[in-house]
Amino acid sequence: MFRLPVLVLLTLAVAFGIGGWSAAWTLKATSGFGAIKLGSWSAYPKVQTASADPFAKAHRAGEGRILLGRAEGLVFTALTDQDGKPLSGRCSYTVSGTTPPSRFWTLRLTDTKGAPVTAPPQFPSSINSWNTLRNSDGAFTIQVAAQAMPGNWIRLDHPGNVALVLTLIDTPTAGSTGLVELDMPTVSMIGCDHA
Amino acid sequence: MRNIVLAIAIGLVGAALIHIIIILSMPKWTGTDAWTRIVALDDENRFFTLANEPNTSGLYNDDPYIRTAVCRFDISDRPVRVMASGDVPLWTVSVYDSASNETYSMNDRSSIGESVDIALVTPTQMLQLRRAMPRTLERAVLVELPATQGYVALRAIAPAPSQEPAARAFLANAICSRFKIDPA
Repeated sequence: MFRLPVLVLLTLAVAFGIGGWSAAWTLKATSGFGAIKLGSWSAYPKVQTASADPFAKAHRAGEGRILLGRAEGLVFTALTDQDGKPLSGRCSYTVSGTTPPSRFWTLRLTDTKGAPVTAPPQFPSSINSWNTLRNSDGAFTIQVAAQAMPGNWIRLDHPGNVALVLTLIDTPTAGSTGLVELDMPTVSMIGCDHA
Repeated sequence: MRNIVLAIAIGLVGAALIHIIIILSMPKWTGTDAWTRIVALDDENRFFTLANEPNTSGLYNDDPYIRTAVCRFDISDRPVRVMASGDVPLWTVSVYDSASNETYSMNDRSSIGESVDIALVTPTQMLQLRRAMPRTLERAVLVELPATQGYVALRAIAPAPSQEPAARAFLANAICSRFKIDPA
């Protein structure tokens, strides 16, 4: 007697349950299509434009940030090291190499949701192209660790996983066609102290 | 049994539809998108310098070396002129519409001179300006916008703590005001 209402309810439950869950999951899992991937780094050069895909638009509306325009710069994010392992807040890493051409860049740490990971004020939690020490060939090595290191050092001591964010200001990278030839710094793990 | 399978199958089709509807309508009802946050910040035609720490407005400088100020504008009646000058190593500016799509962006290398001088106009106002270009606008970058409402994000970099005051002054003294086109 109640078969039809039960079936209708089942249909609606499946539709709303799976539809809502899958939408929420996609928005959490991805920032949309059209990423530039270089090693462990990825960037979305079109996310702030009208030609961004619907997933990217939904994602950026949820985040509510004021994104960098095309002439302003490009933000690269690394969630993994070069071996593909997630970056842990309890491990130490080196970021070494060179960046694509840009007039200014900054390297900072965020958690996996994009909120800044800050260190106490006496420790450096970010670095930029002006205060980075370089080798004679222009390449740099930045230590990301809980313990102080000589040379370039960013303090990383965070429960949970983190992301490295490299912001390039005034860079031709977004419009460049030879993207595969761009040099991004490599992120390699040194070790995990208190795992 | 067959009825249950059919119900689940229809449910899955509905789920796909709802997924698409949610993704497409998301930008309009999140309530946390950049435009909604900027509307909540301040009045039109004023640059608001963002705080450095996360706060209730949801807008802050997430990069410690890049300082941002935003100004909301509406050019339907009168065009808006954005001006800023100061001793900063590098500045960038972007114009977004109310759906947060980038409509224009530039940096100090692409400007005439050292300072920010941009006039945001509608296509009609552009025609008026073309007919008789005012002297004061000769060095301004004229940007014709398809949408009348939007916001400007002006950024200055401060690579070292000693440059922080200069960046703050640059953003604090930035102007984002309406101006009148003199009928010629």
